[in-house]
Amino acid sequence: MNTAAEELDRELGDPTDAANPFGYAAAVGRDERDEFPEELCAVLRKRDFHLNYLPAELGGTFSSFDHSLTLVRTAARRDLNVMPGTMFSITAATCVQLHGSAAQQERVAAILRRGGSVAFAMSEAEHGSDLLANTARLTPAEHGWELDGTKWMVGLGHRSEAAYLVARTGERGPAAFSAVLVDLDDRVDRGAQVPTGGMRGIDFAHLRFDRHPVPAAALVGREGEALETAVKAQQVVRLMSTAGSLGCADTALRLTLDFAAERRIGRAALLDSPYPQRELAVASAALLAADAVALAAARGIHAAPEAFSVWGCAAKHVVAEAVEDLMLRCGTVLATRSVLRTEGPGGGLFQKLQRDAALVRVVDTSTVANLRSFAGQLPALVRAVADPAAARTVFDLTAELPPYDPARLDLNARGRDLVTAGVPATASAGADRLRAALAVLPAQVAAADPKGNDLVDLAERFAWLHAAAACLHLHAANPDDELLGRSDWLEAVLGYLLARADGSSPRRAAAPLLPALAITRELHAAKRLFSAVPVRLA
Amino acid sequence: MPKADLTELAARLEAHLGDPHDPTSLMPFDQILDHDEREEFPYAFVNLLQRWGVHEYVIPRAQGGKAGDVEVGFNLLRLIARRDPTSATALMLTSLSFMPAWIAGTDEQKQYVVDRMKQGSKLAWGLSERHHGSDVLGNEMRAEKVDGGYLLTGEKWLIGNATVADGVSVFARTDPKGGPAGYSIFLVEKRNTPAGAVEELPNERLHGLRALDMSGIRLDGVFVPDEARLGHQGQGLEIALKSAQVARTTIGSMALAAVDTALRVTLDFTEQREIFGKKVSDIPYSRRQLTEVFADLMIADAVSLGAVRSLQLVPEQTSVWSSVAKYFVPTLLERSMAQLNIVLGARLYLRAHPHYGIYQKMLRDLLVAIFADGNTVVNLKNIALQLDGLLGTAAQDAGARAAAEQRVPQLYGIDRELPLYRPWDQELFSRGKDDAVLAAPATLDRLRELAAEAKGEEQGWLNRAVGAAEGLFARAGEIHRQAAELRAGLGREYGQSAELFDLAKQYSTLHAAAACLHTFVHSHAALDDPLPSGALLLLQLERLARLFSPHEALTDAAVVDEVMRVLRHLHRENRLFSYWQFPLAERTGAVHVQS
Repeated sequence: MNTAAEELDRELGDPTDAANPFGYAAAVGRDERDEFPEELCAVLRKRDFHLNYLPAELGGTFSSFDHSLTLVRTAARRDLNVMPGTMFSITAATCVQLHGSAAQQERVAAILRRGGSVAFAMSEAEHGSDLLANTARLTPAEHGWELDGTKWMVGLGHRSEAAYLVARTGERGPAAFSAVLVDLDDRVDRGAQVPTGGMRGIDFAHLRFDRHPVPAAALVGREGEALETAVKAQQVVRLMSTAGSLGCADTALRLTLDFAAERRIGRAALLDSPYPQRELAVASAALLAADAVALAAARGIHAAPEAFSVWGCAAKHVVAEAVEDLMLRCGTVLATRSVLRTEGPGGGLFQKLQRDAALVRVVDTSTVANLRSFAGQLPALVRAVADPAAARTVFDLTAELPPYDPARLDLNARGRDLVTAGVPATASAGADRLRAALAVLPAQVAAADPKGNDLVDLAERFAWLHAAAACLHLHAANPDDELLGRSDWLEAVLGYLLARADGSSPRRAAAPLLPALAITRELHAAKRLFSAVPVRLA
Repeated sequence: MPKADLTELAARLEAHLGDPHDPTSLMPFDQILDHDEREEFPYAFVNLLQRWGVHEYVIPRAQGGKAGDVEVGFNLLRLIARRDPTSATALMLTSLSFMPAWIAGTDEQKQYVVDRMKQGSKLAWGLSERHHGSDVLGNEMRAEKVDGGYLLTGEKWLIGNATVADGVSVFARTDPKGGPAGYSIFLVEKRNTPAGAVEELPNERLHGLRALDMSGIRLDGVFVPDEARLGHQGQGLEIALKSAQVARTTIGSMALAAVDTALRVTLDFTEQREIFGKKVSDIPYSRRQLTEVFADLMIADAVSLGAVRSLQLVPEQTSVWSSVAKYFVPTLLERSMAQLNIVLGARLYLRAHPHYGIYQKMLRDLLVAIFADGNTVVNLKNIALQLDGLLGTAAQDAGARAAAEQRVPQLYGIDRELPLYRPWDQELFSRGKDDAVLAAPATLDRLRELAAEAKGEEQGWLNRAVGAAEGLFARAGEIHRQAAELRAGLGREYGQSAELFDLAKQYSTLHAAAACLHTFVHSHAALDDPLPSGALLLLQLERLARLFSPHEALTDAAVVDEVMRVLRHLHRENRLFSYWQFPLAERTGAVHVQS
C-alpha cells in the first residue's frame, strides 16, 4: 500500500536539494511570496493524487483510508499547502456522496477529474461553531430560491467553479438548514484574497451572495438535512487532517535530528547531550504515537464508521496536540534556528511548519468544539462492550478491510467503541496503567458536573486513553511487525500518551521514552517516513 | 520613582501614543502590521519614541539621563511593546548595548556614549557568532594588540540593530588561547573607521519581529584605539555575563506585552460575541481559559516585578533571579498563548483582519523573544549549577533567611523606594542566596494573618491559598533530596544531566510561587481595586501546583467567576493586565470588528 507514496516521493526528488522546485527551500520561497503551489499541485494532479478520496466508480483512485493517509502525509511533508491546494473539495464531495443525486455526484466528480474544485461554504464570521445561529438564507422565489448572506473563509473560494453551500430554509433547530450545489459565477462577490498566517498563499475567500438566484434542482438531498450531512462529512475531513499534522511533524523532527547531530556545544553534539536528547525523545514518542493513532483511525473508519462521531474527534485531537507538543520541543532544541526564516534548517522551513501545524489544529473545528462535540457521549461510551472480531479487522494490519461505507456514518456512536472496550491483556507496565485508568473512568464520568467543564476535561482525557488503547491493540495484533511489535515502542508511546492523559509533562517519566529516539534515528538513517507503514523516502 | 509618579509617566506615554486600534493614532496597529509584512525597520516609530524621550529613562542620572530605577524603563518598553515588540526591541537593544559601558566604562567613556545616545545614536551588542550561539567561550572574533589600540578581525552574527547601529559593543578574544580571562569588549563606532571597514551582513529574516534589523558585522583588521576598550583587558566575559543578567531580567517585558495585547483583543472578541445564546466569556470552558491565561500573566508579572527590583536591591543574587525570570516568564507565557489560541479559534491566523490581525504577530513575536539573550538550556544550567547551594541555604541557614525576610518587603513592595542602580555590583554566582525562596515561609505566616483579618469569601480563598502555598513549598525538601541523590548517583555527569535541569525547572516554579505570595502580601496595601484578589492568588497557585501535579484542583467555579470579574474590570477600565494597572490610552478606535 506504500508503493504509491514511495513512487510519488521519488518523483518529487530530494527535498533538501535547494534547487528542487518541490523541496523545502522552494516551499519557504512560496510561503515568503504568499504564492499558491501551482507547479507542485500540477505534478500531483498528473498522478491523480487529487482524486485519492474519490471512489473508483466516479473515476477516483480511492481504495482505503489508510492508503490515502500514507500517500497524503508523504506529499504534505514537503509542503502542507498541497492538501488545501488539491484536496479542499473533499468536504463538498463527501457531502454530495452522502446525500446527492447520481447526477450531482457525477457533476462534482467531473469537476474534480478535470482538476477543478468545489468549495464548501458553511461557516459564517459571527457564529463560528454555533451553526444554528447562521443567517445566510435561501428565500423561495420563482424557479427555486434567492440566496442572501456571506460565507466566511471559504477554502479555494476564488478558484472554485461551484460550491456546496449550507443556508437557512427554515426558522428553528438543526432542520432549518438545507444544502445547494451552486455555480460560482460572476454574480458572486468573492472579495479579496484573505491573507493567513499559516497555509500562506492558499486561496481563501469570503463569498457574498446578494439575491443570488438558485434553481430548485440545485437542492442536494432533502430540505433540512444539511447540518446532519455536514457534520458527518467533517468526521471524514478530520480524519484526513491528521495527514497534514503528521506531514509537518515528520519534516520538523527530521530537520531537528539533523541539526542536533551536527551542532556542538563544547565537544558534545546536541544529540548526545542529556537535556536536548530528552526533548527529542519526547518529540519522537509523540510522533510515533500520533502515527499509530492516525493509522488505527484510518482503518477503523472502514470497520466501524458508526463510531466516528467519537473516534474521528479523539484521533484528530491527539494527533494535533501531540504534533503541537513536538513542535515546541523541536523548537527548544533548534533554539534560535527555529525562528530564522531563511538561515534555519531546511532553508528556514521550521517556522513555516510551526505556523502550518497550528492552523491544521483549528482549521476544520476548534479544539474546544471538537472535544465538546463528543463530551456528552461519555456516559454511554464508558459502558461500551468489546467487539473482538471488528477489533481484529482494524488492528491486524494483515487483515483485509471491508469497503468504506459512508452511509454508516452516524451523528452519535450510541455507546459503541471497540477501542477502549476489550483492551488486550498484554503484560506491560504501560498497559497496566492504561487498564487501571480505563477502569476508573466510569466512576469519574458519573461524578462529573454536567454544567461545568468536567465533561469536556474528561473528553480530553478519554481521547488520550483512547489513543493509548489503539496503540496497545496494534501492538497485540501485530507481534511480528518490525515496529509495532517491539515492546520498547509500546512502552514509549504508552508512556507519552498516558502522561498526556494525566496532563503531566512527559519529560517526568522520560526513561521509557528514550527508545523512541533510537527508533526515529533508525528510521531517519534508513530514509524512512516516521511511521509504522514502511515508506522509503527520496 | 514612586508608584504614583511612574503611573503618571506611563499614562502620559500611553496618551501620547493613543489607541493602537485607532488608525489616526501615532503608533497604530495597521501601520505596525504593514511594517511587519514588508519587513521594514520601524524608523518612524523609533524616532517618535525618541522624540518623546523614552531613551532618557535608560540613561544613568550621573551622566545626565533620567534612569533611576530599572523598572521605569522596563515598564515604558512594555507599553511600547504592547503595540509593537519590534520597535520596543530596537530601543531595548540600544540600552542593552550600553550595559558594558555602564558596568565597566570610565566616567569619560560613559559620558561619551551617553552623549551619542542623547543624539539618537543606535547601538548593537556584538556578542554571538554563527557557530557559537550560547557557547560564549567558543567565540572566535579576535583583537590583536598593536600600538595605540587593537586590530579586530572576525564576524558577529545574529546581532540585533547591527546594520542600523552607529556603534557596536564587540566581544573579542584578546588572548589567542581564549579562556575565561581571554576576552575583552570594544566599542566600534562605524564613523570612526574607514568607509566600508565595518561590513554589514545581510538581514536575517525572522519568523517574528520581522521588521527588526537582525544582521551582523564582519571586520578584517579594523583598528580601534585603546580608549575604545570597555573595562580591563581580559574582563570581557565578566562584563558580558553581567550584561546578560540585565537582558534576561528585562526581556520578559516583550512576552508580558505580547500576551497583554493577545488577551485584550481576545476579550474584545469574547465579551462581544454570543454563541449558543451566551457571551463567549460566560461559557464555562472559555471562561476558564481566559482566567487561566490572566493568572499566568499575573504570575509572570510578579516574577518580573521581583527580578527587576532585585537588580538594585540584591545585585549579588542577580545570577539566580535573572535566570529564573528568563527561563520561566517566556516559557510560561508561550504555553498561555497556545491556550489562548483555542479561544480565538480560526481568527488567530488572519493576517489582514482589521481587529485581530495583530494577534498572529504577537504570537510570532513572542517566540523570537524566547530565544533572545540565552536560551532555555543556558538559563536552566545556570540555576542547576547553583541548586544544591540554594536549597541548602533555604533549609539550614537561619541567618540568611532572616536577612531575606528583611529585604522582601522592599523587593516586592510595589510602592517602596529603591537604592541607586549600580550594575557593577551584580555578581556571577548567588552563593546559595535567593531571597524570594528564603523568605517564603515568613511571608506565608503573614498571609495567614491577612486571611484571619479578611472577610467573607475572600477569607475562604486566602485560607485555601495558604494551604496551596504550604503544599508547594513542602516540595523544596523533595527537590533537594532528589538533587543530592542525583549527585551521589551520577558523579561527574551530574552537572549535565537532564534530571538536574528538570529539578531546576521545579525550583523556578517554587520561586514563581514565592513571587506571587510576596507580591500579594508586601504590595497588599499599595494595589488599586480590584486587586489584591485572594481568588486570583489561589488560581495563580493552582496554575503553579499543576506544573507538579496536573489534576490538583484548588479552585472551583466561584473562584474562576471572581477572577473573571477582576479581569473584566481591568479590560473595561482599560488598565494594563499587571499589578501596576497603568491606565492605557483611551479607546478611540473600534473595540470589536465584525467578521
